[in-house]
Amino acid sequence: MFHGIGEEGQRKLGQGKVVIIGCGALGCNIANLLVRAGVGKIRIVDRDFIEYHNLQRQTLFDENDVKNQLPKAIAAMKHLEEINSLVEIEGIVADVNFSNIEKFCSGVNVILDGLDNLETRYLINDVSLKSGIPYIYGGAISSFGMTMTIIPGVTPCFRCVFPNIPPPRTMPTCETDGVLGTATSAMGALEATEAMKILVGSDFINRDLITMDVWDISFERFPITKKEGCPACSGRYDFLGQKVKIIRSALCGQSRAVQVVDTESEGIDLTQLAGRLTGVTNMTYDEYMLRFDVDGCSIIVFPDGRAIIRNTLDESAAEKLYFKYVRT
Amino acid sequence: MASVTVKFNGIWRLYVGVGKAALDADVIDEALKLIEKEYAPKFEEKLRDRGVKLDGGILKHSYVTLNRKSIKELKERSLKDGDVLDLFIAIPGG
Repeated sequence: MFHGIGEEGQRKLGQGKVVIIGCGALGCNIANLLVRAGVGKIRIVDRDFIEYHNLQRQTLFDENDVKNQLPKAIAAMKHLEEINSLVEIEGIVADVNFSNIEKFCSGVNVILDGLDNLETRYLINDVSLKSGIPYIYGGAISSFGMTMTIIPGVTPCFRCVFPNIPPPRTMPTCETDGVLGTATSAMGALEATEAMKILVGSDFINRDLITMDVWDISFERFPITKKEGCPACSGRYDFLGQKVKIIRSALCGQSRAVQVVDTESEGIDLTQLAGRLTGVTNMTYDEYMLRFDVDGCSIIVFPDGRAIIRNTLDESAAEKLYFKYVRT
Repeated sequence: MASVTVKFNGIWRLYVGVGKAALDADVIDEALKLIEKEYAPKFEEKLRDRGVKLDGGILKHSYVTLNRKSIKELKERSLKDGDVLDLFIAIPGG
């Protein structure tokens, strides 16, 4: 048995509870490794469904998942249960935002980052500091990766290091610049290792900003320090407090798609919606999503009340379609 | 004047088109001004190619270190030959 864990550590892993926010490439690798490591309870939250172009890097999924049109959180749960039946796995299909993130993070020992956008990371940072739950940030794009571990009250937080969030659409996405599956695998492995160290109470928890490039083979760590006057560290949770009714966002993993979320929605009965839709084509639905085509777009509606509008990047047009056909 | 190396890490390398560059400056803040003047237009041009208009430069979104120490922490602001400035921006993908 590995000396850093030992029998006592393995027992602690078995008692550990983690949440993985996002189950794309990072999330798949993190979940796979933590299930195999025997972490007791793993909650996986993701808003998306699986497409063929995800398979290059999202290592839990296969072609059958695409054919079956499964949400990532559900497909991940099914595959992970076959890997280690001793682990309790909870797959949740949802968009993570201010209205639900505290619920998703409640009762866990560690929050792991499998996200594809910065906005939600600032939100997690707020929740981590407010709740005292450690947060492991990780990101990857192209051949690059970056990670830091946030221990509330001890280490600098994400906002200490990156105080200003770049404006929407200014940052590259996996869609615009691509990402090597080996980069996301390497970063997922680092995040999973940090989670294990936190769960077993190791003294070797990362205190630095780690950067990596798998193509030119560089791996570096840079010391980071708390920012004087950091709002989040001072108890001002700006991102958690940004309450808006409608959230519109372009999706990283989708070639041209906008997600529209009504944060006040209590959910939608897909069968009822299917029954009242008129003037749409190619409609199909199951317990996870309802799909139809209209006005040159494909619309996917989820039971939590949100929709993904494909074949557009126009957020206003997407919101209009949402209110015309989904939230009528 | 000190000869300094500037390293554009991760996304910055994608956006400014080079991984590292050389510049001459006496103090950190002078080096930062030179970086902004030379490379912010490249960043903005890259964004324009993607249909996004942004004026505001590089440093606002960067974590910057001098010889691996955050420049926020450094009281000594003068530079010497061989110093290395590293610029990082948070990676959003995953």
